[in-house]
Amino acid sequence: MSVVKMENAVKNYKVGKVEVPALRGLTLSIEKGEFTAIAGPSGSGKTTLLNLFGCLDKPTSGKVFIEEHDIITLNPDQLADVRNHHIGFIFQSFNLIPVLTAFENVEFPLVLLNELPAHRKTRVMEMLESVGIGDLAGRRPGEMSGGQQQRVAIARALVKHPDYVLADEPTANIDTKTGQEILDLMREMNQKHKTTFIFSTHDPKVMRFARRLIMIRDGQIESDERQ
Amino acid sequence: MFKIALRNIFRNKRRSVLTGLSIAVAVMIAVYLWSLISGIMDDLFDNMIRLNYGHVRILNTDYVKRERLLPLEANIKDYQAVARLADADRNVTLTVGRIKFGVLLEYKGKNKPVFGTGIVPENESPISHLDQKIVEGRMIEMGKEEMNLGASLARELGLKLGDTLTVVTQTAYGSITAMNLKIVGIFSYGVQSMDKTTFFIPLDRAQKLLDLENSATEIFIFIKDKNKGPEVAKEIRAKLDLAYPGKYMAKAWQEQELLYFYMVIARNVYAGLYFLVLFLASFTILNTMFMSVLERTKEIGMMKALGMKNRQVMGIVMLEALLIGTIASFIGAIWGSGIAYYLATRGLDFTATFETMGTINFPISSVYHALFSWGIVFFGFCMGILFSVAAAVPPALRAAKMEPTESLKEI
Amino acid sequence: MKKTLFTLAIAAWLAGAVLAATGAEIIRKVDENLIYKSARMEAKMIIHIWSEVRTKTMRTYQKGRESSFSVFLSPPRDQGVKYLKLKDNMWIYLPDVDKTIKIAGHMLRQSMMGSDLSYEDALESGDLLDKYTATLVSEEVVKQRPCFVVDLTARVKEITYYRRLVWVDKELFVPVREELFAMSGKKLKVMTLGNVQKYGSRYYPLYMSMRNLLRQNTLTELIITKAEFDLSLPAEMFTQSSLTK
Ligand SMILES: Nc1ncnc2c1ncn2[C@@H]1O[C@H](COP(=O)(O)OP(=O)(O)OP(=O)(O)O)[C@@H](O)[C@H]1O
Ligand SMILES: [Mg+2]
Repeated sequence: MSVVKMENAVKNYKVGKVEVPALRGLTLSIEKGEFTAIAGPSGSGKTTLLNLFGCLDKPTSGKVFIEEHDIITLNPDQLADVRNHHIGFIFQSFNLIPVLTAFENVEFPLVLLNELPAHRKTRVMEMLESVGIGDLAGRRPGEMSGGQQQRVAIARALVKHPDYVLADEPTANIDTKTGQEILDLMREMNQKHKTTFIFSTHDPKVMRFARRLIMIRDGQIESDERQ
Repeated sequence: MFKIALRNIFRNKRRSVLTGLSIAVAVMIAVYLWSLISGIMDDLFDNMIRLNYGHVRILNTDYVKRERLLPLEANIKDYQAVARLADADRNVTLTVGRIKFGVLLEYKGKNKPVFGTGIVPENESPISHLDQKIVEGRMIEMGKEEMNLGASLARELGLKLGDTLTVVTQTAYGSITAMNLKIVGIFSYGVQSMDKTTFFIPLDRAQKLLDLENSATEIFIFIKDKNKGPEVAKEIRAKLDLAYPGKYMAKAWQEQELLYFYMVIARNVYAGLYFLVLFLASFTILNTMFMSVLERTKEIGMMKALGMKNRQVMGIVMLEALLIGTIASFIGAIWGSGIAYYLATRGLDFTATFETMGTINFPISSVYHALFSWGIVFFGFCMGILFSVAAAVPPALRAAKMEPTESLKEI
Repeated sequence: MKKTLFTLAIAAWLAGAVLAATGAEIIRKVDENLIYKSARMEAKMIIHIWSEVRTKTMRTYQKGRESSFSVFLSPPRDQGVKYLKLKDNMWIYLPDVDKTIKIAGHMLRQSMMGSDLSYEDALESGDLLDKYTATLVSEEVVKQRPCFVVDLTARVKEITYYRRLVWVDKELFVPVREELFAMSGKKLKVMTLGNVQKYGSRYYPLYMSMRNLLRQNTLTELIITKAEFDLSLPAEMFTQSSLTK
């Protein structure tokens, strides 16, 4: 059973009066528990693809299904609910809320889900421990290294036990060694929590690390192989 | 959520402080300006009511048209009988007859047109507060040829306590008449129109001087609740029409066009100023909120990506403005009330300004006292918050419109 | 033709001159009749004002047309008030305050003792013909007495009454009515005279009424109750010191 899939998805961006095609009819299905890398040269449409999977945007034509629900029909508030309940995000530049501590950043999605404070606290601490920064709970993003920030971001993405996690070039902003640690962590989480991961990358090392590698070029799938 | 808004304020401390400061200053100005204007207007109305109009005033119908000329012949004959009509009304606490007359006061070669008023001294305390305003000597007494003179007038003419002054004027019938009046007291109201151009003499002496035996030119009526002026005036009018058809009329202070005119002007000018000040300040909040929202495009996109709804995004921005607005308004209200309190107790002295401006024709005090009231302070505080929040609406809408895809954009 | 026009013009001019001469003549005759070297009168002034009647009595001494001295005898309010007129000046003595006040400036036009007469009216002295051109305009019968109607128009502009119409009894040379006008043509005051009595060969009216048309519902009557003429009066009577005596 697929967690998320798209059928014949086309995405065109309007730049002035010109339509720039970013995705040219993609059909793709992600299965539960998969650890998928999406690779391709710059401008090939990786981010655009993740936008659609992430319910951040709607395709120009074609369909996107999350647990067999078509997202095309949903209004912005319903899309927000879908993201809230089903999807976790990890960003290239971490994108933590600078005014909140690590603990509060991780807590944020639970607040949006209206979880009870007591419940939140245990889950956040568990999560911070499991990404290995339990002792940094009180720090703000500005007081942490890139790797540590990205761990917080992973914790934030996983704390609500989403169906799948989207990560756009999660290692691009950190050094190779730390990047490897982050990948290891993601893989660990994938195995421990059976969380589906979909991440984009340029990096051949990262590609090799993935269980499934989808290569795209000019908005079309070039190859799709499981390792 | 609250935490985010609160901490966002401290993100760019300088900006928040400047925004807050402009709101605080605006609220402060609004509060003390209102206190001051209210104080001045209250003082003016109070003076006008007490010195010029009473709560309700009975006049000869002919007097009304030519009031500026003080036409003595249009008087109230047997005024005590007329006053008794009003006394019968249970709202009425006091009725007093007065005679106002114009005189060219002459002393040692200097002369000056002034206004004399014949009063019943023992009734004056609640009306002109004359007993409290005597700065030298004592109040005049009924039946004696004495006068109380305005301090500035005395200075101008070189008169002093104990001097005797011959007042020459015309009677109601037009004959030349004169009376020697001894200055037994000098008063100072701190009101130019009083201190510079008026004197008081006992009513019976005024009646004798002006050949107005048993008459008065006006009857002041004071009532329990001054807000009931028009109702009481109406009842008295009905009685007057019955007893003296067409001869006399009664007017409540609220029905005085001049007072009403001042009231409307004051209200409009004030409201205009008040909202202008707040409006300008709200621009700073609009501006800073826009800046901080645009700066956080990516962060807001991320929050939306994590499932935050448009409403919540708006809320967080407005909350931020509300917090700044509340804190700033609170500070501004405290500053404003401080100034207002100072102005209420100490006053703002314009005596020197008025001296150079010459005689002003309405009884405005030379020392302004603000009216200090928590209502004004609280209103200013609320208005500060209201304007802050209102100004945050456009930036909040802008934030709500931001796309969640912004979060994945790398620049 | 030219010649006849010329003669007519001359005739008209001459006629005008004659009429003017007659007008002036009439006024001069009136003056001769009314002005004595000295006089002593007692009079009652009745002032009707706003449905009230106020009566004052006074005694007046006159010397020629230039000087007069009056004392009010009643009512108590006015008792002892004295007026002194010397040429164009007037003083009032107020016993209540023991002060003499000179009437000057704007006060001159004000009512005298609340009457319809102004101080200026009372002050009027000197020859009317100095300031006015008199013209006999018509003849009318007033109160069954045939009268001349003389128009007096001022030769100067700064004057309270620019024009006066005087009705003069043809036989007695006593004025019976006078109307006073402002320069605008507005009628200001109306005076009537009556009760003419004979003193020697001369006539004198003992009743006078004056209505100031600028005031509403007022009328002042002056009734001379006693009149003696050409008696000897002490000279110091017509000095300021007599006011305070
Ligand atoms: N918001 C946008 N407006 C217009 N064109 C866009 C927009 N976003 C992407 N594109 C265009 O769509 C195409 C795909 O872009 P996309 O960002 O998906 O590529 P990418 O594979 O993520 O590239 P990169 O590796 O540089 O991140 C590119 O040609 C890009 O210029
Ligand atoms: Mg990209």
